[in-house]
Amino acid sequence: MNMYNKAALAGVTTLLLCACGAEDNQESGTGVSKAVAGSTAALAFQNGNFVLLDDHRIVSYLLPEDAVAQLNDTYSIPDAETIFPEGEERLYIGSEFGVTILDIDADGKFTFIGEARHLASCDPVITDNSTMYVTLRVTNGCNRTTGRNSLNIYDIEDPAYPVQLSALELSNPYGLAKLTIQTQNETDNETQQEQLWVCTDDGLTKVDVTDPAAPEVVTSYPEILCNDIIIHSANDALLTGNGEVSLIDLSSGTPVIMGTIEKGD
Amino acid sequence: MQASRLLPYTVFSLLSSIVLGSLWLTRPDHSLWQLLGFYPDRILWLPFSDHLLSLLIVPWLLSLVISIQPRVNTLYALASITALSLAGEILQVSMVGMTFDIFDCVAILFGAALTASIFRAQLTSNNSTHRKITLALATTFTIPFQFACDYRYCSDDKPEYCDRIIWLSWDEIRTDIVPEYGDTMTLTRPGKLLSDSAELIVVDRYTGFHLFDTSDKQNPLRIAYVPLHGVTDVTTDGNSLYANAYNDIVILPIAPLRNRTFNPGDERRIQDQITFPPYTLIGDSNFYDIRPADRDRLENGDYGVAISREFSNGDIVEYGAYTYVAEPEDPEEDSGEEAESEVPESSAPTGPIEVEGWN
Repeated sequence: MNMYNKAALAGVTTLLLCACGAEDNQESGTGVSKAVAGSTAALAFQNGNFVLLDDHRIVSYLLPEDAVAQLNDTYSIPDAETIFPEGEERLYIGSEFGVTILDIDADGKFTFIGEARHLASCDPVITDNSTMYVTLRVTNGCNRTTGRNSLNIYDIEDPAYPVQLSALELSNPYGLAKLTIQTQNETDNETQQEQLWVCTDDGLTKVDVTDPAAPEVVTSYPEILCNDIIIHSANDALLTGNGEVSLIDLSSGTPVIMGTIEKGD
Repeated sequence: MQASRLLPYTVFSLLSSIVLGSLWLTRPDHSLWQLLGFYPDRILWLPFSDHLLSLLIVPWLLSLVISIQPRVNTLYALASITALSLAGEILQVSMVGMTFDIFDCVAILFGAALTASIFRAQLTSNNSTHRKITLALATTFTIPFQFACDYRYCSDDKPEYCDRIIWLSWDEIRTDIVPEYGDTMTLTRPGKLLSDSAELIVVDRYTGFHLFDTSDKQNPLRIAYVPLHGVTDVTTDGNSLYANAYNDIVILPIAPLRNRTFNPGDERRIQDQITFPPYTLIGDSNFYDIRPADRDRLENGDYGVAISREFSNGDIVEYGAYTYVAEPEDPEEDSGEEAESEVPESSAPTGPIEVEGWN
């Protein structure tokens, strides 16, 4: 390995990586206290409220330790399946018909911010600052007749009016997570590559979304099947699916399975 | 057309409505519905519903025959239909899947007598040519109707035709949580994840969740297994874990789970907050092959949650996942072992997510 490659490798750092915006280099030992869930989560804790999806609506609770649980608010969202919390109060709800963007205040009240409608399909969503990534699939109870299989990318600079930037056809995409890799080139200029790792029927798929208007499939790994992925950092990611959980390292650009917890383990 | 000519059609239409309504309400497994390709989803137990159709068969078929051929020999038709219906009922003594019931015979005779008394003025006995037509029509319609009814429906008296339901009662579901520490339990239905760089929670769908120490990525170490009926998702506020558990929300402090000081009852359960019909995991809203007692539990939701259903053909749905007992393609090559194929849940082709319809 030459010096430049070593320098590039050493310079690999990760920024916002995982489905819930966890930062890199979290201290070990914090455990699930600062844990994150995958993009298919249907529960969340946001702005002091416990939030869950229940029968075509989202519900917020205040659950004080020594007092009666309090149902704060409900908001109707037909066929909602996933919750993605971002920041202090933002919630992105993936449903069969689109993504609903809500804010939740400290009292648990929901405020509608915006909505991105799409053809009836299902449905995880993640965001990274001003960009929203949504996977749409049509199998397994989702809409087979009018739906589509794709990764849709939206500009949410103004979350009240999400603007679709692109749609990339994928094979039944499901859970997804984002990884930002910064490298230094020979002239010490920093370059940044935005990678989206998506669980598809073709296996774990790496998509280059550096230009969100023109996403490109880099490669798929058919031997790695998954439903959902969590990325803490380039060398700390998890996959679930195919009856097992895998701990993987993405720092080389290729997923390397470090350990697995299999059904029956 | 004279009013008298319309009378048979009117009577036939009226009786048809009553017969079809009775079939819909009391015979969801009737061959007619199978032929039409749709199935009423439950049985309504009306007074005398077991014998209602037997009572109606003679007047209904007679009105049908007269509607087709007004010049039919009505007296002969009545006698033929009654005799054929009785013969069909009696033949069911020796037929698999059919049930002979003496009260059905009584109902047939009663229906015939009632018809004769009401329409005695119209009952005629004409020439032999019409008798042949009459007999042909009576036979054509009576025999299929008599044997179209599949009596292999489930009831308290015929539990052998019922699907077997396995229940978790509310007491079992809401029992105090007793974690198992160390590497004692195995992962059964891996589901959603909650993780940080050093710890990982893996939901074992509908039965509990596992807490792993993942500080050594190559050797994840199970710290504890937390049994929790109905869980499919877990989140955290940093101090506690929040989980769904069928209809309930359950909150567990994290620190005692880590340091093995969690006491049964340390969890907090907020009951009846989440919509989770008790039939969700058995995946089929058709209740007509379910024992009335189980059906009542499914409809009322006051007993618990049905976690498994074994169909009469051997297929099983457990926690929303189907296992089909495949028919061997070539009996000569059949080794005698049942071939089973597990079909993942409807919303999770490659493994562990959710059952469509609830989440």
